[in-house]
Amino acid sequence: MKRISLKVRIFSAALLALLLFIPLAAYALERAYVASLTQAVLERMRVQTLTLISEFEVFDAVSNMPDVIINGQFNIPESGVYGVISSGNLIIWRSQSSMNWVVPTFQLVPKVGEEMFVEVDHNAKQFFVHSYTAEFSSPRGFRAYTFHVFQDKSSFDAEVIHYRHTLWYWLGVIAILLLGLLVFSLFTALRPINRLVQDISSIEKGESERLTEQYPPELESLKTNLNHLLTTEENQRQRYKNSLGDLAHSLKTPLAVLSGLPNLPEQGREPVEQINNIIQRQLKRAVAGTGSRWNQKANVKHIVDKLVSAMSKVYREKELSFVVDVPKNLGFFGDETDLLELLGNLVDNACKAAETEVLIRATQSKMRLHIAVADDGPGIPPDERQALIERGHRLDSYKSGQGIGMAVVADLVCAYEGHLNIDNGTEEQGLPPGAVISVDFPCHQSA
Amino acid sequence: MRLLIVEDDSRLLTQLDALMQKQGYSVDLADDGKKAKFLMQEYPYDAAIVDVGLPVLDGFELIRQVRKENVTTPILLLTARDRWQEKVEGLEAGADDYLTKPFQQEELLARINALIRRSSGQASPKITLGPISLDTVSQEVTVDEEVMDLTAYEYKVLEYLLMNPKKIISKTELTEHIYDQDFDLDSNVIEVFVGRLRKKLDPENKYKPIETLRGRGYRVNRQL
Repeated sequence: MKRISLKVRIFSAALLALLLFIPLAAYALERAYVASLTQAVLERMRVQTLTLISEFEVFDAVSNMPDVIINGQFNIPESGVYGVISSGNLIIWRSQSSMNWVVPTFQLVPKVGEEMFVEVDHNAKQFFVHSYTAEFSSPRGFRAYTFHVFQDKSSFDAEVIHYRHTLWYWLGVIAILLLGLLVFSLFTALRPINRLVQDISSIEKGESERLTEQYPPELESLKTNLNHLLTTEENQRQRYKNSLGDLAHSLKTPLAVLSGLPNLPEQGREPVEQINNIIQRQLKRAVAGTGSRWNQKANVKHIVDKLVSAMSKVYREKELSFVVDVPKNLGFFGDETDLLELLGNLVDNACKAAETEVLIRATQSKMRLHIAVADDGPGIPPDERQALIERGHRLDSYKSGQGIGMAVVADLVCAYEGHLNIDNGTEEQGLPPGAVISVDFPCHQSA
Repeated sequence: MRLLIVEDDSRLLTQLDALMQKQGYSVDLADDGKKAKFLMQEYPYDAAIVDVGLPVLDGFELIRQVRKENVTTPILLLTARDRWQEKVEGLEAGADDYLTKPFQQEELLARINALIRRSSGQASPKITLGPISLDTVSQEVTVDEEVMDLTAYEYKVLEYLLMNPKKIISKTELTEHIYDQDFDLDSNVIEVFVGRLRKKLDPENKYKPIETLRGRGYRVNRQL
């Protein structure tokens, strides 16, 4: 049940209700109709029986019945309405309509003064039978006569069938209308949820920072909670980074004082440098990849441009030319400051090594974001590359400068499940001849 | 060269003060952002060293505000927060270079030197004017390959003049750049320094390296 969509759930519930209730309604309506129709038949047959009784006479122990009865249906052969009068086991009269009709035998007759209404099967046909027994006086005392009216049931059945067809036709129409109405109200009810989903996904894409749309009261509290969560998370992250920054600040200023002491012996400098490296790397490592859990995208071009403008200021004297080959809309799935940190180290190293040119190129294939930073410096010999990449470096083996920068890069690449590669540029790749450090990251497309 | 150091840690501030004074800079100190802002607006410093974490007004904000008021003094940002985000933010705010704590003193001196040279349009640490050559790193002055023995103030005057070869420099300007704010010297002292410099650099009075423009100030002789 967990994974069935809300739409399917509500729709199937509605459909189930319709499938259950439409036949039930049809059954109930048909029952009611048949009952009332039967009642009508009974009333009519009662009148017919009474007609027979009123025509019947007994004179001197001889019963008498006119040839033609007032009720026309008794006089027309095969009319479907047959009258029979019996006394004991004898049939003493039968209507003209029953000329070619075999009168069934009577198993049961009602007691005197009582009526009976039953259905019987006779000659492969069904009949309603209404019987009434009455006593007539004669010189030889009272004698009981039973009056029977038979009515062919086929017209009744035809009527019921006709009713049933009409009923189902209209119930079908109503069912379809109801289903349409249900689907419509379903979508109306779910629309705010769809909007919420879109709103959230625009936050994931980094297009907006908070849920801003108006929602029905039921979702409004969810929206408030989500916004609150976002704020809390952001504040927490910020606090974390700030306190790490403060820690760095409060540790490094005394270190600066220490390393600036004029009478600090040479043996003292190395440990100071070492402590500095450890602080630097561990703090950066603690911050790396602590970006938001939301799939926010950072614009790569924006970050590279920022860096290049900063670097060209720092390395003004080298008069480096920066080549930025980064498409405008390329996104990095992660924290902006992490990418800035990573590229900052790479571009800084490249600027240090470069003679005249630093190139930054970013491309995106289906699943990966690829960024390369190249320079036209001396390059990195193949046997030193692996050592630079390996994270297994012991902390105290770092030398100042390049080492720590690359270690931070390696940490960040690892935190984002990326790859780091060091190579020398070739002309075919359109790269300057020095070192090419490239990183690539998986693109977590939000589903 | 006159320098402003802005740092809230008093130990580091004292240390930097001593270091820079030893290098022959006139040094002013500030331990919060507001004071620093006032000083930077008031005096034409040749460079400023600014720490990021400052009370009252933080380093970024300080730089942003003085840049907005067209203070062009080259600024070296001193930061303990060595994430690139902070470095880039500082440079965007208007700093010219950054240095992360802790630093080697030599590194700091080299950066400051480079900043001052850069801002005066000198690409190399060595400035030459005809037979006169001044090395801003070793603070050595030679005339015809012969090393001159200059006092600290004489060196400061010559350095400032050589760094601004196209400008006429008034006595007031010279005073402001070679003394820190605690001094309030008579501008006649400048005349004395210039006079002594002329004698030392050009005892036979054949190069005439420093011209006097009456009532306006001094300028180096660009014909040399």
